[in-house]
Amino acid sequence: MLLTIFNKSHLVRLSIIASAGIALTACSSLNQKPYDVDGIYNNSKIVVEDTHEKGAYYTEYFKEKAQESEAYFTDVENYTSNYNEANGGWGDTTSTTQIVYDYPYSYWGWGYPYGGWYDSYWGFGYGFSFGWGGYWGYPYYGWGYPYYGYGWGYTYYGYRNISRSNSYRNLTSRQLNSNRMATNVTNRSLRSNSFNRANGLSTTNRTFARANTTLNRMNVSERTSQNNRVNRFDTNQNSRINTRNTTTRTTNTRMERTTTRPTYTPSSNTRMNSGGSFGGSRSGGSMGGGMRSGGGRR
Amino acid sequence: MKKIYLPLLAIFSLVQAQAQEFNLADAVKISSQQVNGTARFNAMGGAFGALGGDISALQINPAGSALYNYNNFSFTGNLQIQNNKSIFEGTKATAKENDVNLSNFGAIFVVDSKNQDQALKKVTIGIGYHTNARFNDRYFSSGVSNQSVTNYFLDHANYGYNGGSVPLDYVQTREGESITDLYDYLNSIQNGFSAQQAMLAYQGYLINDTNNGYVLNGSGNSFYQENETYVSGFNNQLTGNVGFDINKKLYLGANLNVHFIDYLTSSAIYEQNQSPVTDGYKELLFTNHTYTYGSGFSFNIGGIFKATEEFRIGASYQSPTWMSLQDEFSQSLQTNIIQDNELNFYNIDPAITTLYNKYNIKNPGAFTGSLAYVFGTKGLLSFDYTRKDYSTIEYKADRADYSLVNNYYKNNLQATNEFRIGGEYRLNQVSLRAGYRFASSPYKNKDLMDDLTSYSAGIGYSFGASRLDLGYQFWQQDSQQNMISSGTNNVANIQSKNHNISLTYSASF
Repeated sequence: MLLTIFNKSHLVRLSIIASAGIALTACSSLNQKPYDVDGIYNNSKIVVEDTHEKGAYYTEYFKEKAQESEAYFTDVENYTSNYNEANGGWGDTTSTTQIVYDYPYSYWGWGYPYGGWYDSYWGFGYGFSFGWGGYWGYPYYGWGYPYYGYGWGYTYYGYRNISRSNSYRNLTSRQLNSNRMATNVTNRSLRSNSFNRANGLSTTNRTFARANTTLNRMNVSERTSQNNRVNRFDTNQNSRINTRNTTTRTTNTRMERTTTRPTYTPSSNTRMNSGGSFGGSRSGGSMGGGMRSGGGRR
Repeated sequence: MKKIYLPLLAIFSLVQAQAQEFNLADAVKISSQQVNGTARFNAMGGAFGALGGDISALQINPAGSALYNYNNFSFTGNLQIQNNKSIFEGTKATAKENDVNLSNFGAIFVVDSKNQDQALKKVTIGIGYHTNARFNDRYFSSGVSNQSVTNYFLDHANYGYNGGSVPLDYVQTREGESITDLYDYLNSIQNGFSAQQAMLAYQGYLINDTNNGYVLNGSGNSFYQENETYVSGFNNQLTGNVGFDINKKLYLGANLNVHFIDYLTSSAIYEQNQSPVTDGYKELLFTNHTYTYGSGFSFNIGGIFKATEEFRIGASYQSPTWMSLQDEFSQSLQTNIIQDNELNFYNIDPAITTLYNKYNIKNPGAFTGSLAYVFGTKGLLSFDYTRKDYSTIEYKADRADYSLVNNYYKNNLQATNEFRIGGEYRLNQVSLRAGYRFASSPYKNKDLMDDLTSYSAGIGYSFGASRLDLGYQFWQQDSQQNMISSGTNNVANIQSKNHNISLTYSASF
């Protein structure tokens, strides 16, 4: 199961984190005795006696005594001894008796390249995140329509046409009344008295000026694909019910796909989250998938 | 087909993510705080209120930073596996979503008092960036129903315009006008959203206008539906913390937090008319995206008291979070309609992103009480209780009326009780950890969302001044999801089972 949930980019990311941790600990030159750094178990900093001063005093003291007596004394400074037995004296090994807590600063780096985090929230420069990544890598349940294949994520960020709503996003009257569902058209006769249809509207003498006013920000070039529809569309409301648009259309290849879905068997394919950034989500080079870099949000 | 009247509560089963209309569950989602900290924090179920000593503990009780003896920093990498099983009209489906991210990092700086005879022994400064919640998730539901999602469009077309029918002028384009132009124009009128839904359906030959209003272009009594919803985003916060150590007995602390919310909810609703179709509606695909982003502010205060060296008591308060958010919305509709014995495809895509006005949300605050017992240097046991009242969620905007929304929260949400228990056992350099967490549902109606239970475990290895921790968390929760935001009462039951693996490196300096 692990192999299926880890794709290459996940493994790369996790191994970077893991090896960073291991490398940092390996570089640490502190002694290996565990002690409590978090303060939960240990109330205070570990205090170590500095033996340096006392050491000097005892060196002198024992030097004098060595000269006076014939006992075996070890000269600690030079690591020699007047010991002449077969076993050999001090000086074969060296070790330090001093314990000094010293924290080298080289093993961690604080300079993460996380610039440009919060610009979008503090008003200076927006911009959508990039690197959305292949979240829609493959069709889910064998239903692979092309619009599904090129991904929602891409189509969302593709819209540069911005339109401002004059309202707030709020509950719609339909949500409040969704317990009334007119699924059968004949039921509507019961409701005809509450109709408020603007039937009196005659479209012919209204000009096109209305549509122009709100399009200041529109990028006309993006809309060219829509223009074809105007020519084709029959604006006579009565004729729409009876006739169909007879303009021939090229049949989209998706039509040839199955139009019946006999039995449905859910598959357990895992959709991989393969966002291209460290954050695993829709931006590049940020933490927690949350950076909106550069550019200008409208 | 006869009309079905539902009790009023049922219309608000808008629990899981949806992107079409306003979702009441969004504020609940933003308000909830996952256990998403360091590996040690996660492994012990997040029960750190009386312990401190961990950068994530600051989120529960800011006094925790004053427990540190040395400067410290840590960062955590996270693998999150979301698993949602759905049952709709007897059909089962599964959706999975994985996410790898750096979930938090931060540092604590300890400033010992020069004069250790005074009561204030040290001051600690903490700074951290932390994920309150990651929203990456995916839901997939499918099944056969006798209620078509086209009712969503018919409903808006027939009743959405001031309670009545959308004028024909708003669903038909004028001479030289494109779908984009019309959709854009409809953003400027009252009830424009309903007119837009009607326009998409009308342009896609899904509905026709008759003398009796709009009707479905075609007929059917059996419809295969799919709803795939994908959410991606986060609720992160940047925390500045200060802590005080008084006589090594009483620890006090406070946080100032800046929140960053950013998430995208995308949904695709597919439906196929299963009845034999010779003329009219055969299939549709309705996609919606809602992108919500903004920032917020909150603060925490707390204290930890060492009754004895072993027994600790913690208490903390998390203020409400005041957020300012903005929504961007886009949608499109594709239909397959049989006309003159020919299957025609229509792609009604306004290619517009609608910018809604900014609004404010106040998310609930929380109180936490904690107890911990430290067994010398061998181990510890910790217990937290948090109470958070979700009925105090409030929407606010200058010229908007959110009274219905806020009343919904007042009447249908409740205060939650969350219990967290964690333990740690130390064997030389190795620490073994385990935890359990239970959070009651914020909804009075448990069908909408049930309680959450979580089990966790972890292991840590100490290298002296630094430590590597590995944590595993499992949690599960049941909920419901609408197949479409209005128009039908089709609801899928979702069972979520999620796994979280985290790896933390922390070191003293």
